[in-house]
Amino acid sequence: MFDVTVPIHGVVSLFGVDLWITNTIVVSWVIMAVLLTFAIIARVKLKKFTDKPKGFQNVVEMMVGAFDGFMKSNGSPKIQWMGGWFFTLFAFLLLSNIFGLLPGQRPPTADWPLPFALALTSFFFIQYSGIRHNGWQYIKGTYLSPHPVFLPVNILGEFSRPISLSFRLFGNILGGLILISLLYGLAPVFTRFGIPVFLHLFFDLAFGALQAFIFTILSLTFVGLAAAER
Amino acid sequence: MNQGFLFLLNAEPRLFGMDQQTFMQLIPHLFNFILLAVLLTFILYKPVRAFLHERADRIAKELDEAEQTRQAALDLKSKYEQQLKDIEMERTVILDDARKQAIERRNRDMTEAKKEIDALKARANAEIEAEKNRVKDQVEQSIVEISSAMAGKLLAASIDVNAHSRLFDEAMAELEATVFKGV
Repeated sequence: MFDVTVPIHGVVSLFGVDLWITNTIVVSWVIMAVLLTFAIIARVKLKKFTDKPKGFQNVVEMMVGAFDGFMKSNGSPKIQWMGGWFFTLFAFLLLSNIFGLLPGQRPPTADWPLPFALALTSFFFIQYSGIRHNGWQYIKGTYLSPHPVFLPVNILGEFSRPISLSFRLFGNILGGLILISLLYGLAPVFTRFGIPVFLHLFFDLAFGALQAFIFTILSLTFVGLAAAER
Repeated sequence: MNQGFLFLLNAEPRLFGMDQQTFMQLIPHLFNFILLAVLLTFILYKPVRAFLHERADRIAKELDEAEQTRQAALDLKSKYEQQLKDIEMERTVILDDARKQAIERRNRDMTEAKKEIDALKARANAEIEAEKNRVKDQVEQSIVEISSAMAGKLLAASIDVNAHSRLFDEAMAELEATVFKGV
């Protein structure tokens, strides 16, 4: 049966505390390496980019251009400078979610600390945008509204955002992983040929892309709302 | 994977946990992702975005220039068409004027020519009449002279009938010759 637990490849000590080098961390490095390699190749070839794109230039332009358009149509002008972060978030999530397509690999987003870390960055940008663009009005409107007595509830409400974001992604990806592993482990042998292709396409590719999009668009919306004038 | 090694270090594979290790895991993930975001932004996203914007701006500028040039060409064309219309109108006016002037001049010339012809005709008629009178006077004079000469010869010659007839014939022939010469 396919193991759905998170493998641990080693342990290091960080500030006197053990830190497990999980499969999630290693796969994150692999995805980072893939993305950075792609970025460096694109950066080198950028000098030779022409007005009539073809081949690799088309791919790069499509990725960045599509995301730039996406930012313009969904994000307020105040948060356009965060386009690089949202672009990285979507690209990283997409590759992470479809990593399960590789034989014997599990998507790193099926391990909760990774989605939660990403959701924390979103949470940071939400608070930063709100305070930067609206200052005290943001704090007052978000945490002390309608009355300061609601501060604890509002804090819970704000902090529930990264938690809900991360658990939505984690649950969807882990659910797909468990279903596929059940098929591989429990279903009759003849069902393990051909049929998993469709399940992988559905749970890894389609769901993976959808969840990456949902995570990104929700983060974008929250940040945009926080930056909007009050 | 060395399970014994992990066991010694109090680590074991798991699906989900909410303990210190879970939150320790956040540190490398946050570091990795922030590093990746910074690098991807400055290596890929911003330069490519700047390239796309620069190209879009350039194309938009070229389109604006092309539109301005097209507008200028249309203005020029409409100006030339207006000029052609004006020229056509002017040409028509000039032609009409010229035709009118030509007709007037022709009429005037014809009138003058007619007058001149009439004057010439009148002068010629007068001259013819004068010449006619002159010839008439000359013939009459000649007749008188010939008659006088004939009468002299008649008197000087004999009374012969033949001679008389011959003299008469000669006188008549002389008279006829004089008349024809005078006319």
